[in-house]
Amino acid sequence: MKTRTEITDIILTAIADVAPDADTDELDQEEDFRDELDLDSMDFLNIVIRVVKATGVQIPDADANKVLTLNSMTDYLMERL
Amino acid sequence: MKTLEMPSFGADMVRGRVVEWRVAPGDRVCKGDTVALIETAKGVIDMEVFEDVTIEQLLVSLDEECDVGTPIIAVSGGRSDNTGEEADEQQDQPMVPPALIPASASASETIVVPRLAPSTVKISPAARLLAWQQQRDTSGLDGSGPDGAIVLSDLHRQRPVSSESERAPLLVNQARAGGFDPVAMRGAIAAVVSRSNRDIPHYYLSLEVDLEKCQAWVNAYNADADPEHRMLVNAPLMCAIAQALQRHKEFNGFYQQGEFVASEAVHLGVAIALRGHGLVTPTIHHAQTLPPAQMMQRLKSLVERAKYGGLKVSEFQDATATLSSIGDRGADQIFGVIFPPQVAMIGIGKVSLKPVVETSDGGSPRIAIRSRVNISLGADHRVSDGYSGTRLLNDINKRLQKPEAL
Repeated sequence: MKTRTEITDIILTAIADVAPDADTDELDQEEDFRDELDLDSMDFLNIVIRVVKATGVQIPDADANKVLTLNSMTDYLMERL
Repeated sequence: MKTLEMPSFGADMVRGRVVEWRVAPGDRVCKGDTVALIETAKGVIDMEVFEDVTIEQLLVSLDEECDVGTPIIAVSGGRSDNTGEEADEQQDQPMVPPALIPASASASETIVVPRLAPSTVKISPAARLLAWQQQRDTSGLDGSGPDGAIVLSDLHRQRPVSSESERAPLLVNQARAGGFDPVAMRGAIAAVVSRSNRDIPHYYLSLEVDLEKCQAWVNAYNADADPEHRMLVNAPLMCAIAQALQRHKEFNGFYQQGEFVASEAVHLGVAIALRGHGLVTPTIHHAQTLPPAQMMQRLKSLVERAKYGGLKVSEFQDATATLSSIGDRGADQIFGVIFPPQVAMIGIGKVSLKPVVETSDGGSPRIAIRSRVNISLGADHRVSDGYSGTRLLNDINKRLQKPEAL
């Protein structure tokens, strides 16, 4: 069982991996991080790939709109771990 | 003994240095293997070999700056490992990829364009490449090679005829974290777009196309796919564009020496933004033959390698047309600048939901919410007219309405 902080860290690590220059310190956890960090669809897909690998939680394409903010993605993963 | 020489990835690149060897003397390498990482002022690129060879000797030191064309590795084996006259001839031929030997340079009234492969002048491939890259005229030059062929050393003795500012790169280079110079990259982009806007009379068209069917097809494809195999709507879009380009030949090829030569294959250059650090335009070769799933994997690989390194020399040349997608968080549409000697730049704007008036069979018109995207064309008016441009755009649209056939 992972803590919320651990899961958020996994997501932030994935973001840092895909967009090393993105400033996640200032990231609003309730905002769409694609807007916040200027990520395109390829970046977002690559983040999902990394998060799925790191957590083992499947995120079906149809659920992509449920994981668009740092908080909602963390919630989504928490519920399934 | 044959040699591998310092390759070039753009006409503005005259020097490079080996920053990492991937081979040692005695190693047997296969076609496509990376033998060294080469750093230019603008980035680090993997240097691959184009046939199976054995490494005999490393001829330069790490970090030693050397000119394009300088032998850097001695090798044996490969297709020309034989004796006699043919072998002598081969000695003078570097194993540069065919892709790096351009059919010709772009025509320009102000640049002295070297005539490539004129019947009366013998010139080694390396010298031919350098002459083309540096926009140098080799006519009247005395060659010191076999049968009076012009070789690299002859060019080194001759002063370049065009100034630095007149040399225009075909493409700009890629970047690797810590390994590129944003100022130099900006300079390379500046040179190519300035030349393009000066020499090419652009005209622009744009068509808003419906992506509902394409999006539905992609959604269905992705439904059961794990993230690594998911597709973005850009993949079928690129397939439709590549296939339409093959059919509408006046948009796919090179304008050279006052004449347009169409290309049978579509080698699609793809502009990839490096998150505020410039852009690179690697090429997807034979893009017209790729189905969407393969197109997606190729695109993904290019984007990944553009960011983290690993793009190869052969991926930097040869594009017959270029695609610039402004991204799904970008602007409504983009009107791009053509990369000479190409004659067309296709732009994809951001996909968005829009109200559209639909007229269904016999019923009264109604407003529907649809997924739409603007596809633009910047084309060379010396080669095509607006009418044929509209046919290209409408053909792309038509193909997008049958994504299952792409």
